[in-house]
Amino acid sequence: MSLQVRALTAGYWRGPDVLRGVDLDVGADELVTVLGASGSGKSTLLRVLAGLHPVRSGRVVVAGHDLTHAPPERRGIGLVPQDGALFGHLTVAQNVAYALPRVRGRAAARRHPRVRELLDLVGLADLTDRLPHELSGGQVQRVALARALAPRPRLVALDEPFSALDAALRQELRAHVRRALREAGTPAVLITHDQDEALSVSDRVAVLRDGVVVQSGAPQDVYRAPADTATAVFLGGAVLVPAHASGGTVCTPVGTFACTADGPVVVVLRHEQLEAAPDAHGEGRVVDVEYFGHDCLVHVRVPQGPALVCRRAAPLAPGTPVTVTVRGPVHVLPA
Amino acid sequence: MRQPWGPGTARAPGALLAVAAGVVALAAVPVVHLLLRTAGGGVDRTLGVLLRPRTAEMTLASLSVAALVGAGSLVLGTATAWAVTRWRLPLPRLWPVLAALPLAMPSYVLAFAWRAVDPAVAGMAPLVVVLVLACSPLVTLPTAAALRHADPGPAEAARTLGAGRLRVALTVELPAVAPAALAGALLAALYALSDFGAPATLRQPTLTWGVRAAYEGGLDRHLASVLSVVLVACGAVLVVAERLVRRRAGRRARWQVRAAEPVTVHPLTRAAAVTGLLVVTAVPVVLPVAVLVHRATLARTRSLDVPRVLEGVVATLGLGVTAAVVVTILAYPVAAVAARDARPRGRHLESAAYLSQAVPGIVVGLSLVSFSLTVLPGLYQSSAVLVLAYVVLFLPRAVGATRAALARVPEGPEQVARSLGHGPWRTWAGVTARHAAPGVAAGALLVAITVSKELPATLMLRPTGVETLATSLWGHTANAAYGAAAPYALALVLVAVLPAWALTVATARKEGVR
Repeated sequence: MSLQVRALTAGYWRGPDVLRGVDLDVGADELVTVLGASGSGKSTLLRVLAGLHPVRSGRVVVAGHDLTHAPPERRGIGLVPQDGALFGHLTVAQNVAYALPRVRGRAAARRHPRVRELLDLVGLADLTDRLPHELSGGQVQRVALARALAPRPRLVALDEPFSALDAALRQELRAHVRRALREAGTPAVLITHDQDEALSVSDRVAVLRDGVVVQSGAPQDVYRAPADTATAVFLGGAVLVPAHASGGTVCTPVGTFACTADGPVVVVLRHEQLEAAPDAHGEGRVVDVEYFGHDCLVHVRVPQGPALVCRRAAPLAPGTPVTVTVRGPVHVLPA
Repeated sequence: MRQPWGPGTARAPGALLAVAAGVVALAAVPVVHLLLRTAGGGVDRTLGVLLRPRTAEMTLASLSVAALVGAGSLVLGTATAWAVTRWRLPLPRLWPVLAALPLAMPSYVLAFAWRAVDPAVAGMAPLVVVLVLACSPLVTLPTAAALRHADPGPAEAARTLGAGRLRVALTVELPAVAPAALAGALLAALYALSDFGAPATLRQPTLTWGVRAAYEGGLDRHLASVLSVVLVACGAVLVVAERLVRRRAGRRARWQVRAAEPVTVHPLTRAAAVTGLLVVTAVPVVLPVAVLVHRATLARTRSLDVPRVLEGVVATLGLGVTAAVVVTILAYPVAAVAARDARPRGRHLESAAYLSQAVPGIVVGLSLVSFSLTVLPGLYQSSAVLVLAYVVLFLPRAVGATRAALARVPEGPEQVARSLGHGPWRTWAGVTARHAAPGVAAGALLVAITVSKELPATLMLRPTGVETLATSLWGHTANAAYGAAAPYALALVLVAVLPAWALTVATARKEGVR
């Protein structure tokens, strides 16, 4: 295990705990995303890992070393801050060379093999002598990553590194960072509030809410089987249908499903699980459509049923009669 | 005239440009007159003065004082700024205010207080000490502001890259504020170069002293002119350097909402820091006041002339307020063009206005005496010429303050006001002026404080019979009448230090100093 965080608590000057007993594991070569809304404590967690914020209780162990109270410079945890935080008076090469021993001056930094290797890795080999204010947002982030990787850290911590970029660039850079981390063979913790980002880049996702990790696991597992309704909604569009389960089944206005629980439950229906088919005799009526280009969300009203939202390739005109069916197994949570 | 012109148009109306250019031209009168007079003296005589060994000596002394004071202020000011912003100290609100206070203390009062204790004090070393103590806030203030607003991100990243606190400070944090500190140090050097009172009090022959001596000698006005030109040339180099460095500082600054947390340091370090801050503040402010009070009480039975001191206070305040109002009004068009006109002419106009910083008070005095005698004899020794001198001396300061205040006016509300049907004047009165007023007023107050301390130009240009606190003090110290001088010095300290205190407290509160 590269990183083990156990029962970690932390807070701000005389305030209540912001982290209230966080447990987190990151394996060798793993990229783990900590996903949380603003105020969940995710930034504090990252600062605690980097040694920039004091711990109240609990332990942080990296590669077998207890680093709970170690100063940041003795942790070997590379930080990629939200805005890159490059050294404004140093060139790209000098930024990357900052942690390398005995590299002084622009020329030495430019020639250093480790610097060249890393700038190749992040695809910026031709920008070695630029100053940070001459770089674009995506380039700044890639330099910050190369700088963090230069001293071969035990772990890299990335603080919402893509949040300031526009959508197209964000996707490209995510893939780039993912590849660079994998090639470097360095485990990483990435924090984000963006569930698409969390699901698409990580080996594992840890969902942080109110200072506690409420669930962690592979992206598809967390998405398919969220631990509670809040997590279910936070990870992606879902319709929550309250129902009563008994005798191994649960009965809802959109169908009857197998279920192991008994008593009051909530059935989690992902938008893409709900299929709306035009049907002249259908009981459902399309009430609204949100069109995204690659697909659309169709809002459907059924008698005595919940408001349904179905993901669909082609939009339907409001008022169209439809039948809604549910695809695949459903996830049932205790109410 | 469409002034104030709409936001985003980035072009000043011609009339405003013309007014601004006129103000800058007015501020250039002393220098132009000085250059014409010097040129009129002939090349041979000028070269003769320039090549005198005495000229070289005084120039060397002036440049040495400027260099030493610049370097000393850089070190002391940066250290002070670091301690008040980066370390967790008891009474955190107090130190930034105290650190700014020596700025209000006229350097000649400081020198005078020292001589009152030990009349043998004189020469280069005491002069440098006095000026460093008086000038280091010129470094402390911008450096502390830069440190307070600096993005803590790079320093944190450097820590995670294996650098200890010292290395982070030396390689990341100090380089980030170096332009701000350097610009402040250049201003300190400029102040030292231009200062007349402290070198004269401490009997150190510098160029300013030489100008005054040549003027008082009265035999060779040409000598005074040539020395003035040398002085202005040295000053101009410093002003240009300061402008270049400050432009870099502005470019590098990335103002950040999140501020670095002050660090808890070892109790011994903390005690040393507090002691150091107390010394840096107390020696230039409290100690002179104590010495003066002591001298004043000793002298009381003999020569305390309350009505005359009060007269001095009234004259000082009257001149200070008048000059502040005039300077601020004249500065507005220049600042407006500089802040809002995106074309190069806006920048050139501003740079021209700043160049008058290079002209020391003694040179302005000398030049305007001769100017009013030869060109406008009716105005010789009138308050108008004295106020013109203050305009020349303090226009850059007022332009700077007003420009900064205007630059902080958000464009959004102005645009909204226009879109809601308010014309340019109504928008200016309702939005622009409202936003900029506190900054402009603070700038005016600063000018008033500085005017009330001004010595050399006042000395040469004041109307007959008018004595300000500064000139009375000067008159008494020239006769080594320390007891009689003390009440004037004390009154001057009160007039200068109290508003400065109020201003710094208000600024510190606005800046959110914790």
